[in-house]
Amino acid sequence: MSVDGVSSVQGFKVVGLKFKEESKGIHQLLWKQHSVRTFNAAKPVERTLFVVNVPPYCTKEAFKRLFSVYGKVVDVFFHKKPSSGPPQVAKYPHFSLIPPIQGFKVAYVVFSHPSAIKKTLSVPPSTVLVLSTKEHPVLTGVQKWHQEYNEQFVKNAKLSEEIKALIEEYDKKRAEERAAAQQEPDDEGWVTVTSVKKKKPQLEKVDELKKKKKKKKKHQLIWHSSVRSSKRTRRE
Amino acid sequence: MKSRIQDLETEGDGNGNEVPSLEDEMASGGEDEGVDNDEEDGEEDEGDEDEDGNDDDDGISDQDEETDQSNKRKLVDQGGKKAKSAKVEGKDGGLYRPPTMDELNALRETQTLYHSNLFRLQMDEVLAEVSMKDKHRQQLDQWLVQLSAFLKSLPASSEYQLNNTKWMEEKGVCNPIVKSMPEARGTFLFAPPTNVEFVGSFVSSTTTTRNTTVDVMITLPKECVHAADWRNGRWLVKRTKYLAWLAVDLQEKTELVAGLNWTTHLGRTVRPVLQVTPSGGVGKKWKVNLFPVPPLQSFKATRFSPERSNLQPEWFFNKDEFKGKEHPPTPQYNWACAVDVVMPVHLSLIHNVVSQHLNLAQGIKLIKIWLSQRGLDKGEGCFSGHMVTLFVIHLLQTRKINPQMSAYQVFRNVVFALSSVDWTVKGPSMCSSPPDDGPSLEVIHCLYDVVFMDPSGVVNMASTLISADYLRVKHEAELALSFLDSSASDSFESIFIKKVERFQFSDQLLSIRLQEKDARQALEQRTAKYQEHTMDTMGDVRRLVWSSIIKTLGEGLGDRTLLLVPMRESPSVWPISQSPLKLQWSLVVGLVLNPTSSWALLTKGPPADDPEVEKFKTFWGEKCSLRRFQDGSFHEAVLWGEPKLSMGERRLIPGNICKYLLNRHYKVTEKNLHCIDKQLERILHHPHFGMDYEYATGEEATVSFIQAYDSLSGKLRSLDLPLKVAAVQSTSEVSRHTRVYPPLPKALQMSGRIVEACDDHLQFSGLAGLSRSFNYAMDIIVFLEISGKWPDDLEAIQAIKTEFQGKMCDLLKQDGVTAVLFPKFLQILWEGHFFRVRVCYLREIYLQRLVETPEGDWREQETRAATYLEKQIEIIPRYTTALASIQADHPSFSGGVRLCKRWVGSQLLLPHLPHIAVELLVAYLYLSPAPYMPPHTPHVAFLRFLHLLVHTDWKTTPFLVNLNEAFTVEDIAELNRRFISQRSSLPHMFLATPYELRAVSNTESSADLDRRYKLASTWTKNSPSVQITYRCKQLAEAALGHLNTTLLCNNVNTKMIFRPSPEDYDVSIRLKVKQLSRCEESFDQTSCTAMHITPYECSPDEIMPIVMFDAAHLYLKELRETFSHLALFFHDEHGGQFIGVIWKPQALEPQELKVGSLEGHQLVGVKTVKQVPNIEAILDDFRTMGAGLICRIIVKNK
Repeated sequence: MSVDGVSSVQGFKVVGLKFKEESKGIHQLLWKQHSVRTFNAAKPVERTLFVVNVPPYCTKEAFKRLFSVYGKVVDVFFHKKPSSGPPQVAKYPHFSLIPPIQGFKVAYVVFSHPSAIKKTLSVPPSTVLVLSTKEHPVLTGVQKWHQEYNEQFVKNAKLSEEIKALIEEYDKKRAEERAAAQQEPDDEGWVTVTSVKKKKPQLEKVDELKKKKKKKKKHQLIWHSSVRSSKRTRRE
Repeated sequence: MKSRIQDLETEGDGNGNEVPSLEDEMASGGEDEGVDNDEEDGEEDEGDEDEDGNDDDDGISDQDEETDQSNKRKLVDQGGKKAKSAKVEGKDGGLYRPPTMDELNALRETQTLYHSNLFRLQMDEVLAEVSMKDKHRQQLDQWLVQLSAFLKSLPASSEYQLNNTKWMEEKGVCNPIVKSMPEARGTFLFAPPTNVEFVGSFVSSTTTTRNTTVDVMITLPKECVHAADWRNGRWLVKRTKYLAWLAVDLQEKTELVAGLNWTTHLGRTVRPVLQVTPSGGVGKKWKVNLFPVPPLQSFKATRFSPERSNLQPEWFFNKDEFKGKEHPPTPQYNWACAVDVVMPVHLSLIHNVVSQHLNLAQGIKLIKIWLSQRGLDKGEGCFSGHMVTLFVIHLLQTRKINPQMSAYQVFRNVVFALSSVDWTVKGPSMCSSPPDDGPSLEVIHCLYDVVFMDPSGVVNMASTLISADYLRVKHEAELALSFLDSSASDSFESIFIKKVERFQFSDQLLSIRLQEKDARQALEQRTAKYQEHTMDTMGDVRRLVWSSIIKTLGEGLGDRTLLLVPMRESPSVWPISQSPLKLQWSLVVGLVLNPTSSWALLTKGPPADDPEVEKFKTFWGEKCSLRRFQDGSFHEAVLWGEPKLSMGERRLIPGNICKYLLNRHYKVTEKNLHCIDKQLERILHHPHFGMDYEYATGEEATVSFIQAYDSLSGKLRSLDLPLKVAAVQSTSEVSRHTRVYPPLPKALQMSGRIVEACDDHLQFSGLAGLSRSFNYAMDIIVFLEISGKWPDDLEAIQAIKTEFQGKMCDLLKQDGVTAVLFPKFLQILWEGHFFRVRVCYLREIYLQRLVETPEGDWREQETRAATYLEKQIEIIPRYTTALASIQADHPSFSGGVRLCKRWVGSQLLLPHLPHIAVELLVAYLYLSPAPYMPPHTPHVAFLRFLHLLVHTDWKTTPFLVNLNEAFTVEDIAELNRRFISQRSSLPHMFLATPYELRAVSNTESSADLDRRYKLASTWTKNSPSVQITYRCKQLAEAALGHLNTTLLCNNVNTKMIFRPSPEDYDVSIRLKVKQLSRCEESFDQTSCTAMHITPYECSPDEIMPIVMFDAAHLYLKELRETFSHLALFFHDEHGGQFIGVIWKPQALEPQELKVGSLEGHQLVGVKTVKQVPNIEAILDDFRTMGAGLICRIIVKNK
């Protein structure tokens, strides 16, 4: 199947992508120039290409290689949904809580020069890109899982270094916060109030509340039975 | 019927909840002792409510006031304010009009006379449904008038010899009487009957649609019956001949009769009955049985007193050797004749008593429904409807029941009477003044197994039952009482609606095929009065054989079984032109096991010096031997296996005992004996060798893993960490005893092409090769003692947790334990098992829930991460302990749940029906087993699980799995209420446990209540969908059907139901067997069976092997993450060799183009561009993503 018929839609250019040369199935990549009102240094509008329908196995390296034919690629960002800013980058990758991207995604390809964008937008209609080549294979399947398994192992020293750095940063932040909260009034008795983040509230202790309630219940029960027994004696 | 009742449930629920405690008191105190007592009890209970200074000392008037008050309360509750507003308007508008007097009375009656409001509604509905329609009643009445007129108009005949059957055969009517009966002498002549009328249930209006026959009594004229017809079977032959004569005449009378069949009375072959199908519409529903009876006074009832002898041995055996000897009593023969003699008497008794009291009739119907749902109302050894009616009358006469009682109370009292008196020891007698020369009850008990004497004191109504039959009824009565007394709201359904299936009732089954000759021989040896019995039953000794076999089995099994249930084939009905079916010499015995003692290895006999020893030795033969016991005594004993015997092997002991005894005493060979105990469990066997115990069904492997966990948990607690370890908990399936194939501590596989050593662990070398071992790791969570120094930043918490895990790792390594630290967990190799330890911090759940608002404030809300964490570290551990405690109470739980999981897995449904959901469903079967006992073997748990899948309407049934009975009454009411009001937003399969409910401070506020029930049924929230449950239902139906039909066959193939069919799927992705780590768990994998595995041994230089790596699992996960919007994926995690793919039908349709959610679609169309899934590219993606794992993809052509 080739990408016939539709070559552009809603301002998007339609380009084919197959995994390797002999693949029969061809996905359709849709791309256009990145256009948002908010400015972001990481994704300069004039040099960034916005690509949708990117299959999950596409890696940063493969994309860099793929698009380098149109011009020098500075960076490639992947997102699950379109976003104006750069993706969150975990400072401490092993303790990050940012979920990994699953399934089909969108990509932002940042070129070094705006002319590359023009090139990408003027590719012939039936262009088909090939992701994985003999020289630069993209790992999938068993090989990829093996690699992922091996990557789970982290040298202990590296891990403790990361922990140390993270905790130090956290302590510093806490100390700053505390300092900010305890600012002394200046000569005229004014206190500068900056936008200090509020402290996280404390957890309400349900257990204690429950205990209290239980006590109350017990109390009632005693009362019930005393009513009953007093009735009994009365009847007798 | 069921759906209608469920509708009712939803309707009646509102009322049902408000039933005051008073009537529960009445219901449970429903025995005959004093109504006054109940009232006092009621008063006491209500006492706390009338705190408004009610000083009335008179208990009774107080009580009245109470009821009035609660009536009022109820009305206010029901109608609410609107009742008042209706009054203001002064119009009696429909729903809100003030109650009428009748309604008030009904309400009051319900309060005092019924179990609960809902129970009453259900009962009325069921009774209305099973009762005979008035239309049919009238039609039958008219039909009988015509029949009577026709029969009375028949011409009389001349005399025939009794043994002459030519006249009937000429007319195409076959002689239905048993061949083993010798020819009777005497003459027979036909004369038109003097009376034709209905008897039994039709007269007392207690007929139910569960048994669609009505009885008609035909009184013979005097000239037909001779004075000496009581002797030597003449009356039995005569009544048969009379019926045959009627049959000859009736078969031409087509405007009256649509069909004629022979059948037997209560399964007794000596008493054939003519079954007539009336012509017209009524005949499609109802059949009429004709019973000829002798005219009054022709026989004296006492003639047939049980101890009398009415048969001459010299006639029966046709030998002279019996001449002059004393004739033995003939109790069975006497019963067979006397039933006809007393029929008119019973008719008038029933007519007088029952037809006057509607409640009694309704109560009798309830009992009949109850019996019929248990299959006890028909055929040989049944508890007949006639017996029920007489027993109710008996209870009425002995004042155990009074005529004012409601149908429910009648039922309850009858069931109570059945459960409290053993008819096999001291049966009831309706005869108030036994005849002077009549036998005493003791004598009667010697003659019959079960005794219930009719008013004449001559006929034993229960003479067709053997002891085991009655014990079954008694057992059911006890169960029914316990259901009624339990707080469960569905007691009605358990008693009257749910059908008791024989395969699901008994834990194990024994199918015995006897050779008639062997059986008779064995009987002759074992029973002293064999010949007398043969004569008494006219040669049909099967009843005696069953009774004797069950007695032998009972003696051999001892307290291993609670109950032995004989199950005979259903009563036979055959056309009049055919001879009776050949007698079946086969029997199915159901074993209901006693879980505490059924698996004992030893059958202990009497002490060596006891006189009983001889008896014991002859009973057991060469199997028994003298053994010394721990207390120093010597006993004869039989040993059934070595102490090391696995649980799976132990479960075969009862079957082995039965096989041995039947072979020894009845010469039943292996071929003719089929024991249903291990057929299904075999699937749990795992081909491991070289262990010091048999893997068998894996219970031992689970226990050994748990022991390893226990010792590791002790080790972790002893570590010297900055914060002490407060608790160690397991969240693994193994700790719940529910991992299908629990792993064994086996020698580590260190070599192989695909792995290489790296520091302290193995990792993949990047080379391709065989991947054939799967190491399972148990997940453990560790809580540390409380400290205020934890950071409140989520990332920092992760780092601290890892630091603790690292500390643990260092300390363990110092002690020589193999451990590897990962960023997210600590992996330990301990006693040959793998563990993954995670340190947990409870406050993290709360912190995950905090979301920053734009104003810089913090707000608490449900987040996915928080809920996930809550499930993992709060709910699952508690739930794991609860399931382990079920296992402690019911040793078969583990096997049962694993069998069910294996089945669900093998049908590729586990990706959609979560593990925990299956576990909870099986737990439900153990916690609410009604209408059965809890399962005692995995086999029966599995059958009931299939039955549950087939027969549950998920849409209308909430499943509240009351683990540890931790639900409060309010919880159950609230969950039911929410289930009804929020049905559409709740999961299709609603499975709630007490542990998903959160503790809240204020149960009054609705926000807090929402919080409390937010996670109810959290396990089935996303799946299964309606379609998946429907698929489950279909598959379960097929499996159950297969088992029900083939389970009793010798060569039943149970593996068949564990094989999936790849044809059902649009695409099937075949996987390379060599890459399947868990391939050894697949039972069809023959190449794995020879695998030899040596036990684990600790070595100083061991390193961590590859753990928890399953390529198929990773592949499935990736597929589901990428394509779940387009297709469903099915896979068997136990080494399944293909992944089934079904396209979602709606996803294949062309859709509006949405660039944002293109995800694998392609564009089509020229003018209006739409998107459709790019199937070819997706199929290629399947190949790409599973590179190295898949061997080919098969696409089904449409």
